[in-house]
Amino acid sequence: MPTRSSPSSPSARASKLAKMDDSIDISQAVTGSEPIPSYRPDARARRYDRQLRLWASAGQRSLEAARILLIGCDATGCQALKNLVLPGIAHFTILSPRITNAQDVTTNFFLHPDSIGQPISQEATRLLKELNPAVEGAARVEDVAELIQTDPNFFLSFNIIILSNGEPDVELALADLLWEASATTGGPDVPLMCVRNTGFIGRIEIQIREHCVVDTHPETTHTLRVDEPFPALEKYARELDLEAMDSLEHSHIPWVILLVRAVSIWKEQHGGALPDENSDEEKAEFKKLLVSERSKADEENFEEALAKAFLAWNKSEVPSDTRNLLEDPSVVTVSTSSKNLHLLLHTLLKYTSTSPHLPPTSPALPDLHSSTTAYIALQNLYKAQYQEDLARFKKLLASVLEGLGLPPDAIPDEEVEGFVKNTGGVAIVKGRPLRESKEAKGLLAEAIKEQFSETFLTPLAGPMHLALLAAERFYSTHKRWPGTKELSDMAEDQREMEETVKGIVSPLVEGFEELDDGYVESITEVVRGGFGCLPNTAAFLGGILGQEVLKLITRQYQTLDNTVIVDLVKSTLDKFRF
Amino acid sequence: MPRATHTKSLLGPEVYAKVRDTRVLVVGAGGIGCELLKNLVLVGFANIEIHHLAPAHPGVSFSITISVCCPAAPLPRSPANSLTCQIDLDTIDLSNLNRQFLFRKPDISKPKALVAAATARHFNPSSGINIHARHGNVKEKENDLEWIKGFGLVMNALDNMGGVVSIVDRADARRHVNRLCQAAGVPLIESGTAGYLGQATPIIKDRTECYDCVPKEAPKSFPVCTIRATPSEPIHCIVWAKSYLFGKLFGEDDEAVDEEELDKAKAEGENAEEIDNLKKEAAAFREVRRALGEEDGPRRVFEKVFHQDIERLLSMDDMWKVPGRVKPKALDYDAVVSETFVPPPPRTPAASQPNGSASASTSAPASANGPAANGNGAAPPSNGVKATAPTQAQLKDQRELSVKENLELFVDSCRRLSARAIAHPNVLLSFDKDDDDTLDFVLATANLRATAYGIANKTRFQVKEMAGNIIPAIATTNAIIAGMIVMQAITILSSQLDKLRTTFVRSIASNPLGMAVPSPPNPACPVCRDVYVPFKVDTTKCTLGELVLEVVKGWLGEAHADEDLEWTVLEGGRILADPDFDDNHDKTLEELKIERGKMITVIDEDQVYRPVHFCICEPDPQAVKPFTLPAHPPALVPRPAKASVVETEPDEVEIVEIPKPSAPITTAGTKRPAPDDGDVSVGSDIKRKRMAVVVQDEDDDFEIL
Repeated sequence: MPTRSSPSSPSARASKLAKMDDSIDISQAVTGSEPIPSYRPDARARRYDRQLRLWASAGQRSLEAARILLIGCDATGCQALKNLVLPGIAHFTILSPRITNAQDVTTNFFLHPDSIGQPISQEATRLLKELNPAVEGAARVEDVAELIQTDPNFFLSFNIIILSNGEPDVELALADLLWEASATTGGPDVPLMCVRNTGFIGRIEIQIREHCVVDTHPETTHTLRVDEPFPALEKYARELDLEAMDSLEHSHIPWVILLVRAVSIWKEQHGGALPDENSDEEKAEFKKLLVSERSKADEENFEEALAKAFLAWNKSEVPSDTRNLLEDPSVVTVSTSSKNLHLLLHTLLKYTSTSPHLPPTSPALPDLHSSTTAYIALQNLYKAQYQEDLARFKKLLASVLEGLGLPPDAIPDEEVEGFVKNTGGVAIVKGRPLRESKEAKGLLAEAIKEQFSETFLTPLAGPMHLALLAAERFYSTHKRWPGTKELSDMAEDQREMEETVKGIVSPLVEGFEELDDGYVESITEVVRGGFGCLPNTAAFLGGILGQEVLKLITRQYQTLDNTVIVDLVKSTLDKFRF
Repeated sequence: MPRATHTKSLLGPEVYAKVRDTRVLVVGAGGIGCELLKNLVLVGFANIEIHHLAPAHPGVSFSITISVCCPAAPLPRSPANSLTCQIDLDTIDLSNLNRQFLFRKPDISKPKALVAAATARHFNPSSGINIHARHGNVKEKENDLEWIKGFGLVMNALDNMGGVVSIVDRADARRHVNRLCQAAGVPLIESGTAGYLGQATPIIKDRTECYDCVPKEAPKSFPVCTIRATPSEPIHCIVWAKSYLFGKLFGEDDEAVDEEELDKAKAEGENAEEIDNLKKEAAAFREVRRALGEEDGPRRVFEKVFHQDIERLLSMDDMWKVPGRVKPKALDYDAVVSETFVPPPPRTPAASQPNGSASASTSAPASANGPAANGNGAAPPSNGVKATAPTQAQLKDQRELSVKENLELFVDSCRRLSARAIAHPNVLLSFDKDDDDTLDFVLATANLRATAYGIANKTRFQVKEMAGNIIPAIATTNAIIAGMIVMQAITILSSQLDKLRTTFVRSIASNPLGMAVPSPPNPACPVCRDVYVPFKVDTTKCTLGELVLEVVKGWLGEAHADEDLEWTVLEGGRILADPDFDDNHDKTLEELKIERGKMITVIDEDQVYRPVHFCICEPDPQAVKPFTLPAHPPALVPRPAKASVVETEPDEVEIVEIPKPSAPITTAGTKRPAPDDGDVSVGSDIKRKRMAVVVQDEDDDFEIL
């Protein structure tokens, strides 16, 4: 992905908009009126109305700049693409050398009986494009393994690659290619999503070196600074003349103010110390102080303040997730090739190194019982502080950028302000190479060891993952999937698979002898599935794949990191990090 | 290779045969419905009926029956011989296309029934699929207990979440299907999505919770005066525009209802002077309405509602002594046009936070899980809708209009709507979010009112969402949920009920899919714990007296003869007969407008037992008597000890109705079902006439009742 600008560069967008313009005739057809007035949405906004309400225009912009590659043109892959063409990605390419056969048509909704005998990627591309005229589709009728050799850059030109039920060797070769390309800072970091399904079982593996999330949509994002109020807030709270208020006004003082006031008085009485979090006595005493100014027993604002009294002894600090991010070497040391988010976090690191050692104040307030006037007064206090903090942050950022020799407008204002408002909602996901998992090294090896140790009763590594891994090794040896020959060979395939799983486990676990029932059952289910495509499993996995692509592209919500196994017989979905 | 082979070997021949042969009913052909239909057919379900509830016309539906012909038969080429489709009022909107993949761009404005049927014809054509589309009504008389019993499984694929975001229309349809399934003992899979969230729930009679076992949150209502005289938030202005002013000018004008509502508010202690003033205001409306079609009509409306009415309110000194109330400022038409009008000071600093609807003691409208409606700035990079910094991200409908622009839009939309009203005097106009004329009117009116009251204005994008109950919807979540529905369906057909799971799609990275074993039925449930009896009856012959004496007292009460039970007989919330009321005894059921598909409810006076519902079905052609009863009466079920706390009659929930006009009028674009029991009002049932303005807490979706 590009480093300096977000994935939605203006040029990419311009061409997209031009495309959308020809669909204006639709909305005219709907309304049957003259040219669309300025206040009405255009055809594009109308088509995407229901999703714009979910990821907003910034998310849509990223989506409309996204280029997706699908390798392997089966039902699962096409279902995933359907879910991305509908919301309006910029472009997709389907890569497959295969010719459509009758079996393909019966499982894949995006093929037609007339497609038989034609290149499958061309046929599916044609039918998928029908879903959304704004999306560009292309087919490449070529062998994947060969293309990896002859034109590796082709793969790097996409934002995301989906590899659906690919040959295990191809999976590894592609994973290696992408992992290496992303090794250099600023190099292309193309996420690879590998999906495999057999019968009712499905697995998705995601490889990405580093993924920046601009909004994880956290539940709690910021501190209200009750324990450590900024001067204007404390001054306001202390100067309120409670006694002069009428009962209505009194019962509508926001609880934040009540708490700030009580904390301030407490600190004055206790030499600057907050109530001790470990002393029930002090906590009770603080609550007593808090309600001492209550005029009636049932004042709702005081009830709210009591419920939030813990804020007085919960010290405001940099949230641990943010702290971890700030300590990451890629944030501590930045260069001209650092991503925007790293530069912003680096600036935040500097920002929090001086008093009060807290992230910038957020202008957002929670719901509270208050009169309009009191609420606005409170909101203005936080807003003013936010503006002040923002200015301080921008000044620090300017010096960071200058120090690196970058222009002062290297990061758009919008992005800076967004970050400052939501520092607790950013995340950096550090992915792992697919090869490690496939070779049962690294985290998977750890998980296997742990799982076979006596202290763990529930399987951690997922017998199903090992069964699928064994099936992939089986394919590499026999060039066919287990359970796909004659019925009589099922038992033989099963036996061989069990041996393979034992072969994976025994070097890691001392004294290992027999696989327990869970493993045998998983292997049976995998073999029974025959690596055929059950349309419903394909549709389900296509939904999950699409959802993850959306998260990656819009850079919103936490992405799945890095392996998901679905068992639709048991109705379970398990997530692992291998 | 036949499609069957692989699926068959995975499912096993027995289950596969059930999949092929079981008649299944799908309710809804929207986002989930499209996905579900595709999955069902590809998996091998061969006997599917789809009912689509047209969103703009709940109850109106079409059905497609798909039956698999002999595989050797040629494909039906001519639509004429396989399609019999009557009028369908639900047409495809551009905003459907981001997920309802059976519909394409050239299909816009076409009936969903035709298009879905035509597209579905391509499903697995090698098997030779025959499609019949017909137009019907899910609440129509054909769709009775016997009809639902003809299905082995029912799947509700109505968009939006049932439990989480209950939209009244769809909740209504969900409730109706749930009740039918409970009455017939047919398994139901209920589902819904909202943005990234989704849910699929299997409902098996006597084994799991039904849709009504968990009471749904009651909609929150605003005091009448808040809406009509003292709004303090944008939502108040939108409700006023959508449900009050719109109706006054273009909707049905029912003086009696209006009076009744105001009297009720007065009785409940709202300010008497304010109420009397509102009554005068209402009378004045009838005058401007008459003049609406004239050249200066819109201006006269403007002068009345934004100038005179506000001036009159301002003259009531007492009203503005209430602390926290902010005086409005009357709008001056000429000053607004010449852009010399000075608006009153905003209650919230609008410039710095145009989206922020956060105001005192209310929730900001946080959408199900999306940042778009979240105006508090928590989602900054995604929040490209700031008025302060217009960027390329800014969409046309996310721009705030000036006061003058709002006025022009008001005048323009008034003209458009009144032209429509004049052209089609029998078509009642009502608000529809997809009807641009009505949305423009609500947008302009709400913003002008907000301006007068110093309340933050809203953009078209926001007003549409707030006024139109819009729930975000995407293809991915629908795909996941549809996949889960089919898996649950297969589990039910495999009779592995212990493996049934309620499934949740969530936006939690550590566990994006939640599964739970379904809970057992709630002993106090007013739906699934009741008793249902199929009642095959010739309604033209059977009188209510026969029903009361022979069926209720004789047959049903026989086993309890020693208890001396007294019975009340009801239908749809109206009392037909009770021990002291037998005026209707000589009337036939038909005369009482009781037809096939309805239920007659019987309750013992002391409410010792749960209600028994007699479900009216087609008469048995062989029957000698006007009615046929099952061989044995059902056992009466005692109510749980703490009686009737959760108890709600189904029709009490159904307060969504605008009182039926006296003259036959067709409603265009209405979201309200017409009362389905005609004008007969036996007993004193005023709740049907009740009209209130309510809001649903969740997501700021609101419903005008």
